[in-house]
Order: sequence, then structure tokens, then C-alpha cells
Amino acid sequence: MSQFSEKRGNTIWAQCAGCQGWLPVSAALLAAKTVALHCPHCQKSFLPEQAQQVVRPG
Amino acid sequence: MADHPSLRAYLDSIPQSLLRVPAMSVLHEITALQYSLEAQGRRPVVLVERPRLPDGSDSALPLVCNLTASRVLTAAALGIADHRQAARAFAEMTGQPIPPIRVAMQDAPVQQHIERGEAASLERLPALKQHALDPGRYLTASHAITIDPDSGVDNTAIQRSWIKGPRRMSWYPYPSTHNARNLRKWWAKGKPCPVAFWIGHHPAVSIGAQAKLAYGESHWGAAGALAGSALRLVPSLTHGDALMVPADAEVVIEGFAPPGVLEADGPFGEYAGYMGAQTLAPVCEVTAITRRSDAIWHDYASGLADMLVPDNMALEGKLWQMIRAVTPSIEAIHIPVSGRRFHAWLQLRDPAMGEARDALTAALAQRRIKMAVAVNGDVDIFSDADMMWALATRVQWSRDTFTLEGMSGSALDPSWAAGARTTSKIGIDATLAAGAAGAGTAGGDASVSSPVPPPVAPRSAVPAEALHQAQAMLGALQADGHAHDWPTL
Repeated sequence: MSQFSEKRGNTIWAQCAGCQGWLPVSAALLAAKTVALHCPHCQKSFLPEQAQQVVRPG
Repeated sequence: MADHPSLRAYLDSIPQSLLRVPAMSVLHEITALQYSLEAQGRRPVVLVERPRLPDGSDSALPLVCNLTASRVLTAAALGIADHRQAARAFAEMTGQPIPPIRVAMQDAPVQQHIERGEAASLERLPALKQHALDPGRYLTASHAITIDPDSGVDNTAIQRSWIKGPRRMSWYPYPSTHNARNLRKWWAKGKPCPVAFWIGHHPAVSIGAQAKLAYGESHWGAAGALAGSALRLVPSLTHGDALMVPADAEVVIEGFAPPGVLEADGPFGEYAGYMGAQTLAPVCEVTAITRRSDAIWHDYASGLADMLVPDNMALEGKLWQMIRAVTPSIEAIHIPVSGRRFHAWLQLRDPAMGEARDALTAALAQRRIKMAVAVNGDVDIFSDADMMWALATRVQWSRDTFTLEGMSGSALDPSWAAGARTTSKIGIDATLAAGAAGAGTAGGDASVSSPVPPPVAPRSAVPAEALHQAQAMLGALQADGHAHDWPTL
């Protein structure tokens, strides 16, 4: 079975370093590295490397 | 339509369809009202007279939303008497563009009130925070205008913007859009991209401006065609004649997108019904806000019928052009709100052998369409129940379906594999066997009236006279209040 014939989801999640809330983020945003993510829960900005966790599908 | 079509003129013309609300917060409350109306299947236009801003003060601008949630009302706004013919009518009207005209600033209501530089503030506008995971307040019904720096031709498209400060907002032109293409051209020259956003206009103008055109084709002609008169444009304060804006809009926001500046935008509740991921977006540094002295703000509820109906109607017009070119038997097209923008229902009249698949293939060539279903004229393509009946009774899956792989599509779809860049699509031929169309006619009895009986059984129906009597009896009972507590499910 190829990777495309299994249902694994497609959303990348980042966990806010401040409030521990989760937000869905694009691969392009994470890859930019120098562009700060913005937490919709606590309004804190943080760089991708500062995320508490990044969870990828599969 | 009267001269100078405008949002206010349209609202004046539909008093019976207007729900007036004295005051509501811009933070979730107004969108929650739209969700509640949608759940009830009620689609009035909503006018909030005093939107309450996050600091507790009232906005100077009233707000209109749910403007285009009703398909019937929206078609009527375009001058289309029967919404079922919207695809054909839209294609015909946009195929006869009316060039815009230039007016002077003193004749442009949108420049009655001017805020420049430090005096301009996005934060005083009643933009909404719609969904729980949205990071802030967004412009949702804003048409972004950019120009091709090589040709000077403009482009306009609805694109969201997140208000980040008094004169700063992110702006998200999806990478494949014509505005994004223009932006990249400016940036490749090392220059900021001039941009302006117009908000609030007659639905015919707003929807006409969403006509699906090729790169390099201005949308103003299509907007004028749907409005029935030449669209009045005025030079923007910041960019002059190079970037014209609709003179009869309610609000215009002008600025520049500085080269190479990208910031986080989103998450944002998208049309597919899911939260779109936070992503990279350019920013707009605002130079001026102009508006009518008594401007009305316009908001689209992203993911609800309010936004899907007009965009889908424009898409139906595009599909009509694509399908008509290969399938003369196409009669009507519906892109139902229930399928977001992914489903296309095609109604064919006595299709020749192979024509259904021709039509399906043409429909699936459109980026957003993921499933296309072809049916005969007796199936009501504006009824999801009727479509399910056709799928249940007129399809042999191994014979009547085909899939296409590696097609362009919308990634706002949780079924996509992570990292995939293309999608899988399906065409379903749910037409009856050739020569059987008469058998499906509601109430018809082709076995009696046809010289040769059709090759499938006739559709079940009660005699028309008995049906009319039953409907009259029910109408009388309902008028007496007897139907009030009857279950609906």
C-alpha cells in the first residue's frame, strides 16, 4: 500500500510556547524559520524553533 | 437597475428580506447569528445598526452581512428571474462586458470622507472576528485590486486581510491567484506592490467582479455587465489613475505591500468548513482609507452560504462556458452549498451517447470541482434529495463512474495526503439509458403516451388532480395552525 492510499490526515500542529495552545500551521510557514508564528489563543508570537512541539501527520 | 448601482440602493430595494439588529459585538456574535440562521434554513440579509467594537464603543459604520446567503435573492439582484438558469445567464452576461467609465473625485461617493496617514485607522472599522480559532478581526468582503506592472492591467479578487494595527494588515492572495502573480512581479523588480481594497457595493458589481477570467483580463467589464451599466471608477488617492477604484463602493483602503515582507496569517475558517492553517502572507501598509460619509461595512461569513452562493454562481457561469463548448445538451448547472465548491450537478437534455462523460470531464477540469454528476432533465439539481435519488437508482458504479488522478485542486480538504499537490476526482453518469428520459418525467406516464415504451420503468407519481387537492387540504390545515407541532424528521 502506497503512502497515498492510507488515511493519515494532513494537518501540521504547533504548540504555543506560552499558553500551550495548539494551532494548525502550514509547512511553508515552518520552513520560513524566521517568520514568527502567532498564537490565536494568547496572541503571543514565537519562532517555529520556539514551539513547544510540532506534530506532523503520519 | 437604477443608475449608479450601490449597496445602499440594493438594501433599499429589499425591505422585506432585511433583518435589522440594533447592536451586536464584532467579536463572534454577528457570525454566530449567521450560523444560527443557516441552521434554520433562513436567509435574510442582516443589518447591524451599531456594531460594538472590541473596546466597547459603537462603530460609526453599520454592518451588513448575509447579503448573498439566499440564492433566489442573489439571482434577482443580478437580474436573473429564475436562479436555476444562473449558469447560462451569468456566462451570457459576462460574455458581453461593459467597459468602465472614469469619474472625478467630486463625483465619487467613496471619497466623501478621507483619512490619510496617521489619521487612518483600520481598528475603527467594524471588521469581524468570525471563528473561535481566528487570531483576530478580518476583512472578508474586501476586493483586493493590484496591477500588472508590465501591462498596467488591473485585477480584483476577494481576499482576506487580518487587521494587525491601525495601518497594518496581512493580506492573503493565494499563491496561484492573479493578484499573487502581480505581487511577485512588483517584488521581482524590487518595488512595493500598490494595492487597494474596496468594500461594499451592489451584489451585481461584487459578484460580477468575481467572474473567473484569464490573467490579463480586467474584471470591471464583467462587473458592469452584471450591473447593467458601466461601472464608475475613480483614481485612488495613493496610486492615481494607475489603480482605479469603484466610485460607488462604501469603503476603500489603499496602501502598499513592501517587497519580501511576509508574516503569519491565520488560522482562518475557510470555505471548505475547516480551519485553514496559519501560513505566510504579505502585508499591506495602509496609506489612506476613504469612504462614504455614511458608509456601510460589508462582511461575508466565510464558509457559509453568504460567501458560497455568489462565488459558486460565478463558478457555474465559468462551467457553463467550459461544458457548453463540448456538450450542447447542457441545460443547467448547480454547484450546491452542501458540497462547498467541490460538487457540480449537471442537467442534460436528451444527451447523445457519450455526451454525459464529455460534460463531466469538462466540469472536472475546473480546479475546484472534485465530483461532477450528470442527470436528466427530470431530476431537480437544486434538490440534494433528488440528486441522492438519482445516484441511488441510476448508477452502476463500475460502469457509470470514472476517476481522474493528478488533477489540480484545493488543498483545503482533510482527505488530501500530507504533502500531496494534486487531487483525485470522480465523474458520475447518473443519466438514464438513451431513450428513457421521458420515463423519468415527474407525473408522466410515458408507457401510455409514447408509441414505444421507454426501456426503464416510469417514475412513481400520483395523478396531478389528487395532488392539488391534497395540497389545498394541507394548506387549509396549516392556515388554521394545525401543523405547528408536526415532526419534521
